[in-house]
Amino acid sequence: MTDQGYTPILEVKNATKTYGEAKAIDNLSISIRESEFVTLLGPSGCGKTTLLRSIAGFVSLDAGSILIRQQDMTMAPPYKRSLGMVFQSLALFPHMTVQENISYGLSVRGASRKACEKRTHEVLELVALQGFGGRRIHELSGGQQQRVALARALATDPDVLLLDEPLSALDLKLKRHLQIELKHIQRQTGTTFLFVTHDQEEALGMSDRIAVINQGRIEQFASASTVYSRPTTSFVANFIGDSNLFQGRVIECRGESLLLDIADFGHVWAPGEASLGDLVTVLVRPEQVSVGDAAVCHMDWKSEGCIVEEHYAGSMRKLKLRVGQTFVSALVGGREAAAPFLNGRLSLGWSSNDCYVLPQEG
Amino acid sequence: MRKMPNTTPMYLIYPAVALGLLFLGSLVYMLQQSLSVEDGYGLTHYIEFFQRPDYVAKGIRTIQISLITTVACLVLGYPTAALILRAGRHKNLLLILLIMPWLVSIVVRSYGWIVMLGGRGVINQALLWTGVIDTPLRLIYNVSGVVIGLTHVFCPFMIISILAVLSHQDRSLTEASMIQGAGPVRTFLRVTWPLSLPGVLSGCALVFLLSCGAIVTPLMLGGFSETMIGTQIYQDVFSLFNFPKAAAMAMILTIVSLAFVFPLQWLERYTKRNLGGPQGES
Repeated sequence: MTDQGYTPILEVKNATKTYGEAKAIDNLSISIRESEFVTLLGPSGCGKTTLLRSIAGFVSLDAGSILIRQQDMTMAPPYKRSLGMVFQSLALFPHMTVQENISYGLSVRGASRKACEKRTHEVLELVALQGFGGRRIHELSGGQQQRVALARALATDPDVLLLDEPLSALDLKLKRHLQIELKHIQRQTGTTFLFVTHDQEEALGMSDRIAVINQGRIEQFASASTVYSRPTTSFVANFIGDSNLFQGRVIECRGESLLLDIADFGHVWAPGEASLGDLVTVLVRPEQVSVGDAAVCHMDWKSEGCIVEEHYAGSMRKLKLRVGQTFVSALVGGREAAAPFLNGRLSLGWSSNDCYVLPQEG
Repeated sequence: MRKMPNTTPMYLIYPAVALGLLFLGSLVYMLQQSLSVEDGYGLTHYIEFFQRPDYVAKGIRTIQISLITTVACLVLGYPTAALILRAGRHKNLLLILLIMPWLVSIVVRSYGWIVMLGGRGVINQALLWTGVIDTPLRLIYNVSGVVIGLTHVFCPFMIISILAVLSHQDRSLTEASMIQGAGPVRTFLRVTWPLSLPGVLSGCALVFLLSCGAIVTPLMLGGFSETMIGTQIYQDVFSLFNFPKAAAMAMILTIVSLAFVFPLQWLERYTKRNLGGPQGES
């Protein structure tokens, strides 16, 4: 679309799908650029998988349309959409070898044996599985199967590669490793990736843009850093990363700055735009909360709290403090993280610039 | 080191042993019967069987009818199994309908077929009335009647065998095939069918064996001249009381039918091993 300054490779317009009473996706629109890594992120049951499956053509929409390379594919069967997909269960054909699995799509399209072999070799090299072509699927490890599934989906050079939580079944270390590799392969091939996950860390690490989905609607669609630092709704702020959300009333507006009256905290300055008397939500990420007298003395806002919870995570220490009746999470990194704070009172504070006032909803 | 406690309770083995002994005992007894002649033991009954062309013809016919029945059950059963699988919330209802005929005795069901297929039966009446035919078709008291009857009785076994493998098949396998560009036909031929072979083969073995040993249906729907071995054994036991001869025929039937079933079993194991993984183990 010209008004967005780019031609989308995939466009979903006003898609709605209802299962009985429940709306799985609700008048949802999204458009994706070529060679982009887009993640659909949301809690389970939010509709992200339904959206992916309707793009694939396995689910027919009640309303709305799907355009691939600006061609209307809403009614096209899956085998006419020139898409690729990596399934959550991988869905590798157990009765075929790795080579046969990968060349399946090509042979179906009538490619010659030689062309199939050449392409299989290419994609196996891409996923670092050279020489595995003759193996049977059950002879491979979980990580290797994952790569074969990716290779099979890439072999036909699809317009968009759909990935349905393909890493969710793997252990953490392998998962992290494959995430990096997946991103690398995506950059290398320039294929458009549409990745579904409920794992926010995975989404932040890999995506160019993240669409946060809740109750069948897109809450925010923006770059990973924007979604994290400038969430548009409290759902996004809560879902991505840990967050401290406080409600306060605007008691003074001075240019781009607001003076808020927050229960237990008193008066807090925060950047943002609102009218006098509005009730707004302010976000302070735990890593932006400073603790200890030395660190706090330069902060714009400071107070004292009781430590109610401490959680040591190696490189950092997570603290939960109570100020009046309100809980504040703080993240302490570096040397301070090593020694426990133990129970007691601790000064805490933050700089006004690190606060973020959420846009008003509704 | 302490031995790991065996979690399988030992008493579970007793019924299995009892069944095994009962089965083995009767087989040994049948073998002994089949070999017994007036003055000791011999192969007389076996030799006599192969010397009578009408018995050999019956044997061949038994195999033929069983093969046709197996194919008919497969052709009718596979789509039915696929339908039941996709029936969603009606699946249980369809399964009940599938099993319901077993509440009725085979004798009654075969009578039903006589009413349907007889010279003055429903089908012939309808065909005569519409003018498709001038003279009634011979649908029963011949091979076709037996095949129809046996297919009706044994098709559920085929359907359940196929349903068992199809319902264990990961649905995303067909989706993976489709998104790769294969249409429904190609997806069936290259993914669904090869992966369902273990169930197809065990269903075929089951239906074939059951057909080989069928008695009631061929007795009621088959002609007098074109009987099957099972019927002959039945007559020898209950009308002629010639137990050794019946036992010999039963042994021959068992061996011949197993000669057909063992390759099927081997093939089934082969395909399963080829599939590997959880698919093969289920």
